[in-house]
Amino acid sequence: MPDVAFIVLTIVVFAVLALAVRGVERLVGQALKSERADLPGGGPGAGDGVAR
Amino acid sequence: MSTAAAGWWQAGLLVFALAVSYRPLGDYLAHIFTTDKHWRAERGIYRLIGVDADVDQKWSTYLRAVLAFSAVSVLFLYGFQRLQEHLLLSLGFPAVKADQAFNTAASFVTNTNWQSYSGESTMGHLVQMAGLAVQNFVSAAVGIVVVIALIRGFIRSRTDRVGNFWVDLTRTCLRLLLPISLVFALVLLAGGVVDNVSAAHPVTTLAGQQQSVTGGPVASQEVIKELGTDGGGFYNANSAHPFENPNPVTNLVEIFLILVIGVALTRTFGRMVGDKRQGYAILAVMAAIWVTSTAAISFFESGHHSAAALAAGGALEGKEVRFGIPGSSLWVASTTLTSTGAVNTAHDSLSPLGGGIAILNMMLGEIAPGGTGSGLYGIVVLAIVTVFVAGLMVGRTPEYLNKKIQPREMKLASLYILTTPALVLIGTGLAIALPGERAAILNPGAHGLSEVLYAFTSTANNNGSAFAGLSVNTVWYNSVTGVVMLLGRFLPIVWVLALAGSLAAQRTVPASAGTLPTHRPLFVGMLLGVIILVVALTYFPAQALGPLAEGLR
Repeated sequence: MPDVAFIVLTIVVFAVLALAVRGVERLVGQALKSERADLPGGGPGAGDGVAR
Repeated sequence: MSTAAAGWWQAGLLVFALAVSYRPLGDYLAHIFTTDKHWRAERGIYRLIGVDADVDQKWSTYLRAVLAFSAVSVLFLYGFQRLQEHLLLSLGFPAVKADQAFNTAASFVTNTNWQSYSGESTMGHLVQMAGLAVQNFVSAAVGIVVVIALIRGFIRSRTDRVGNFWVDLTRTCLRLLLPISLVFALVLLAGGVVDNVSAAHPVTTLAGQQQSVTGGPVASQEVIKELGTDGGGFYNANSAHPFENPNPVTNLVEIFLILVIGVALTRTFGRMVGDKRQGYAILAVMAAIWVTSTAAISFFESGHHSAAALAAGGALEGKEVRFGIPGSSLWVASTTLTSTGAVNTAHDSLSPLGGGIAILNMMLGEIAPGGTGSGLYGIVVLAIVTVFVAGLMVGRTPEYLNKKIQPREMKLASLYILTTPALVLIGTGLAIALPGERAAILNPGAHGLSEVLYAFTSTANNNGSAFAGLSVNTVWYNSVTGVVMLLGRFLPIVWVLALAGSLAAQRTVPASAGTLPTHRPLFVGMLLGVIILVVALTYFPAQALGPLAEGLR
């Protein structure tokens, strides 16, 4: 019984980590799309060296 | 020779040895990760595990491979310990209890090597050799490959590929960790470290008592324990035990092993990004923190004003006389500024402010030079925060190594910086708030808080050293610190590999007149300032209630 509990705990922790991966995948996925679409750096103001 | 002279000699020899190895090892590491040629043995491994070694992975695939490999490693090591009594060379030890097996599996897979067990009376030789020592190699390799993927993020452009995890892992083990371990295991053997597969020997002490002395494969594990910044001792006394660390020469060799890869990786960083000065700047920050920490710990341990310390000429309680204050202080600073956690001194017996610095070293994120790979990626994230802060000051879009630092990168850097403090402070708060867990504290007052704070700082930062004075072998502590170790290791890796993917996707931006030079002393000073302001001050209230309150009492 304790073995099941700790194996499940391990799986839950790595499932949480997998969810975090899904989250950042969405965030970073936009980066390559915007570069491939040849947009300047992904936002207004980027690309000219001046922060707005 | 006076204690001060011994200290200067040891520190001088150590710095000399690190300086000599810096260039060849750093360049060799860069070669390992940039060459297209595979060794025959490596090709055999790739065929065995079904990997196409010539195809790079997307950053997210790379990350999933890291997590999958680590999850399987935790479950395998857990099962290994639970089945110990049925295995060869178990020395008659029973299965490790479930919560302790989970804690130990999480601990060794995350490069923490926090030990809630006593090695020589809990683990058989096979579990030590085929379970724990294997993780000492591969967990160190995981840290290195993650930072290499991050460096590729800087040097690649408009791609989502950051390398092949299985190729990087195999090369790190076969080309770096195994050969160095083999050579230095022989050095340690020559220095008197034991290595055998003996069971316990009964011996009669001078007082006529019976004592059981256990031998084991110590030298072969001692070397990777230090080289991989792992830290898990074969013996409960760790590197204070004369079978693990017999004399001042082996002590110095082991400190060298703790530091050498972390230091050399800054050269690798400079080589791979095409500007060696970038590596020197990072190294300068690491060196400034390491020198300051070592000097401060030596000062507080030498100048402690208790009656016993004045009579002995220094705070020698908990220290091995054969190492003295210099050999102990050098070790304490090096083991807590990396993710090693091996100890040759009882950290609970350090002077209050000396112990406070040991905790602070870990709170800084273990970046000077840090764990194998993890130290470098930690300080690179802080460098990104520094260029962002500098950009805010002068109104320019921040850039680092020809990549723009945009909101996406800053979100990931912020998550990195917030993850560990959250784990440390929430864990410490819970342990103090719950009456049952509060009972595990064996010392009252500020020192008791320091013990709990140390435990969660050590586990969340994957250090693994312990302050003692805390009964951590309970179901609650084994479970909670196990989860803290896993999240403290792998959440930052998620943010770092995502950062690598985000940087790799960007085009390279040539440096302009408005670009902040990141190889000059000004940047070194700014990075030091950010480390102190952004990281260290997060923990100031906890430090004030623990070590500072005790030291200033």
